[in-house]
Amino acid sequence: MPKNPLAIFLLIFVFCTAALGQNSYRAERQQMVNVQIKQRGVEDLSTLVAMNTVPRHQFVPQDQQAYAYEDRPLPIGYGQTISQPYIVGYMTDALSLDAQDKVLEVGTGSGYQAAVLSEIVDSVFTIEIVAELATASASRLHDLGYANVFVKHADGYHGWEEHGPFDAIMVTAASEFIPPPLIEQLKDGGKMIIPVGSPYSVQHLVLVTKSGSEVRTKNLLPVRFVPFTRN
Amino acid sequence: MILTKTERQSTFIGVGLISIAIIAQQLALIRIFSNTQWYHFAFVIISIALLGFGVAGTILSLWRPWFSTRFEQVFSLSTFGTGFSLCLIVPVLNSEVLFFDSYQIFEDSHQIFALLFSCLVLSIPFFFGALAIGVAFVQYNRQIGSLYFYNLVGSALGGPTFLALAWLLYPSQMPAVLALFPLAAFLFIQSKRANLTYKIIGLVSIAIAAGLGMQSMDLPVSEYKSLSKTLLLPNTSVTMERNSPYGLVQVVQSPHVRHAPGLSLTFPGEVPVRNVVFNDGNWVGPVFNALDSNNLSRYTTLALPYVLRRPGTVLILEAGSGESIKMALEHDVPEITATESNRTLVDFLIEIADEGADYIFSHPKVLLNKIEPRTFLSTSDDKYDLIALPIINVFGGASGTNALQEQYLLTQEALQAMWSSLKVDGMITISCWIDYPSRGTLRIVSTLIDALERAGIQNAELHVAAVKNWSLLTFCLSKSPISTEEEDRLREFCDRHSFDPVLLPNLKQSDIDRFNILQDTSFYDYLNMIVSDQRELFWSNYAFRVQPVSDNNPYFHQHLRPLKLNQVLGDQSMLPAIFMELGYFLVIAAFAVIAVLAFLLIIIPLLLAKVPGREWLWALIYFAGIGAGYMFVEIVLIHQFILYAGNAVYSTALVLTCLLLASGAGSLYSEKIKSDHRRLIRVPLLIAGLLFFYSFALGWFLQSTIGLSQPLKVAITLVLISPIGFIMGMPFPSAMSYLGLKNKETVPWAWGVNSYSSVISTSAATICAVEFGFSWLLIAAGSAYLVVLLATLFLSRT
Repeated sequence: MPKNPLAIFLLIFVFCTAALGQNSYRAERQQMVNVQIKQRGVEDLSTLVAMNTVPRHQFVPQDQQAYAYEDRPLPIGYGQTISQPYIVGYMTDALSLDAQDKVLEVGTGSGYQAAVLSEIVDSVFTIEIVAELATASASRLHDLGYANVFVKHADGYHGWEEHGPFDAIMVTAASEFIPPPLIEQLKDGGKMIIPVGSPYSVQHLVLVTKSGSEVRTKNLLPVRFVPFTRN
Repeated sequence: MILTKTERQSTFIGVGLISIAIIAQQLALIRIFSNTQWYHFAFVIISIALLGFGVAGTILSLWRPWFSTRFEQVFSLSTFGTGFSLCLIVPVLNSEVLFFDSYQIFEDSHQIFALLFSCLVLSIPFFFGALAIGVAFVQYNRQIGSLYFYNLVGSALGGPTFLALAWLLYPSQMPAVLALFPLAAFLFIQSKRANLTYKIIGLVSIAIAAGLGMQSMDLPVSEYKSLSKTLLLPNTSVTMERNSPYGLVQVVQSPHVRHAPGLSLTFPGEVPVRNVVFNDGNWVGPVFNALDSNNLSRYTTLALPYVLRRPGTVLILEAGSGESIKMALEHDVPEITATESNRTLVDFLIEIADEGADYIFSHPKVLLNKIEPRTFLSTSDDKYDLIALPIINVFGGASGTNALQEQYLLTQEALQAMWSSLKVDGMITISCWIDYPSRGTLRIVSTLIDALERAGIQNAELHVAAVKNWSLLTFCLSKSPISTEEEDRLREFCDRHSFDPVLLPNLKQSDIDRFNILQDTSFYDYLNMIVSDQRELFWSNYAFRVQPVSDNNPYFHQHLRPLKLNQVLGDQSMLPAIFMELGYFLVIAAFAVIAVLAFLLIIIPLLLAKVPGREWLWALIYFAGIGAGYMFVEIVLIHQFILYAGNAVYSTALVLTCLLLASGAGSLYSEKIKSDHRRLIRVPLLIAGLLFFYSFALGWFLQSTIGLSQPLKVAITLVLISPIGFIMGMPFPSAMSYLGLKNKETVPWAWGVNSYSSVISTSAATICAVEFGFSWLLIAAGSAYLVVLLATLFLSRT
């Protein structure tokens, strides 16, 4: 007989509650992928699987966890947000990623987008200008076992030259122009997705493709992002 | 109750002081909300004030005998309440509970309640002020003309009082300073009485108001404003600021802000970090001087006119922080003329320029005119090779928040004035951010093609050139046809910088979307329809408003069409537009909130009270009619005089001053002549006739005299508004006096109905102006007076 039946009962209760909670989040996540992402036209299987795998609720503050799988962005502090799930799925899908790709992300934020990318590609290099967010996301990604994500506290304007060129670049902050260093760090045949336009109103999600010396763009979707920053 | 002459005088002076504070407070709130939210709340503020008036009328209606027997106490305490609640407005607005963000209203139900509570709290000073004035109206019914005179003259002084204070104080200081007027009235009333406690309370309150008025508080600003977003950047802060009626100009220093709209992908250099300037939290532009040059502007689509030709004289309209001037200087233009209507902005920028720097506005090649651009175009006989407008969205805003902001620089009349100021080979250039679904871009094309048509130009396609990259579209409208050499230069410019030609005399299929593919695959089809003779058909069928706007309906950024809303809602690709055109919906939402509040607080209690007397139905129609008619006219005049006066705050102050002064005189005159049915019939008929005349003559007259000097324009404003203001001041006291003789019990009810109608009409007028234009709104106002006339005729027969 256990020495303290009450303690054991409480332990079992806590485990059961946690397991039920995880199951509940899993169900919400699945619904998020089906309703918010798949039904809106994101069909890339690796993107859908990644978003079904990454526990989005672990990337938002405690008081926001109940809304983690809702169809909207959520505040993560320092005036920043975790993007709406659809935008995460849409931007990931737009890059047509392969398993061996090396990706640069500008604007780590909570680390959620980097985690989604890391489920698909070989390595993710992500840059965050707000020091507190960079530290918190690096620690979170480490704790959750995302060993192929590398976080740097810096300004993303200059990219991460020592690890370039990249197969794909994803920028998650608005800019009036496409920073030339990022174009330089894009591989021949690589793709970049970036919200450009007036940082204070509406931007366009633009897909940039590099082919030799020629760079072309394609406007995909009107969006609103926080302004792009650089040192 | 018998009151002495001294008591009557102190009451009348008290009414005058309260009226000054009430009008000035409305203008102060317009400034506060322009700063913390957006311009679309300007006309909601007038509704909020009238809500306070209406609730006061209802309370007077319900407990009139109680108030009558306690006139002295009620008047004193209401006067004190007006002042004390004004003192508390800013501290209360600072609380988290009351803060609402326009953009979140449709997402977060809490925001609707915050808006509702804000409306209620903001209406409290107006409620107390109206209670004081209302109880005086009841008490001095026989001298109602004189009392109304004090009320309206006080209101008329409210405008100049606000303007004088706006140069000295920050918006957040204004309510507390304005509280000094009613608190002084309270102390003045108490000085005639023996109660020492009230005198001490009055003195302490004045000390509190003065203390609060001396310090500026930071009010919570919408997180969606440009300034709020910029201040999120690390190590970024406001370093300098200057306040004026034109707005709060703030300079932000940041190690992160770089400005290069639509920079070419081929730009090889470094984009420099710059300080940036904001006005009322809205982006104006970077701060630069003429010396720092890296030819960055040559790598943007904005350089198009300089690629096509080499202009010798350039006119830059609404220069902002001088970006277009810098562009002209970088292209070695020998003579640059610029206009900027915000004189505080340019004075401040010149003043803060580094010592020794050849600042852009004071560059020897630059001639700066600190006046409204339309006024400049009307007065100047000079001709220019190039007229440049700012990027649409920077000074206006296609983001939707400025949907209800008048854009007199983009109307048909403005384009005609610009066309007349061009040399034989002159050009007009305008750029805009590319939108999706296409709205603003198509409206610019429509406006340019319409301008060519009005100028009698055949083959419009030969006179327009446009290039784009992924986000920016630049147009050039040329007086002479674009030559083959110029086309070649344009193509070479596009090849060099990865831009795409959009409009050209000989546009080839291979030119289209070569480097930058648009999301809107039908964009070029739409362009072709606008350029061709199918444009009228296209305008009427397209889901958004994209036809040119006129001075009669200058809402360039309002694209939504209520009748086509289903089409937009049913198309997934168009849905984002709904979320980007929030300004229009916000006014409708605010209108709904205030209408519900006013109905609950004004009409329901009145209905429950079972208003005595047979005249209630007539009073309902009469006072509702004159309330709606008066507010329609007031709002139209404020809107129409924005162009004339130079900006919205000046226009509001000028129109309110002239209108209320004239109405005050009209009300005083009405007391001197006998109030009977015949006058109740003649006056509305005269008003309706005058309003129908104004509906077609006013716009034309303002357009014809816009070039006159500012003092002359103020005199003309007085002459134009006085007659209508004078006779519109008569129906209210005449009918009140008539009701007072027939059935005194009905007076507060009539006052409440008038207020409710005014509350609704103020917001409704703004929505109607957007939908139908100012002329139709004046006709609607005239019709309201005709309804009043018919109701009175019907009453006299029965």
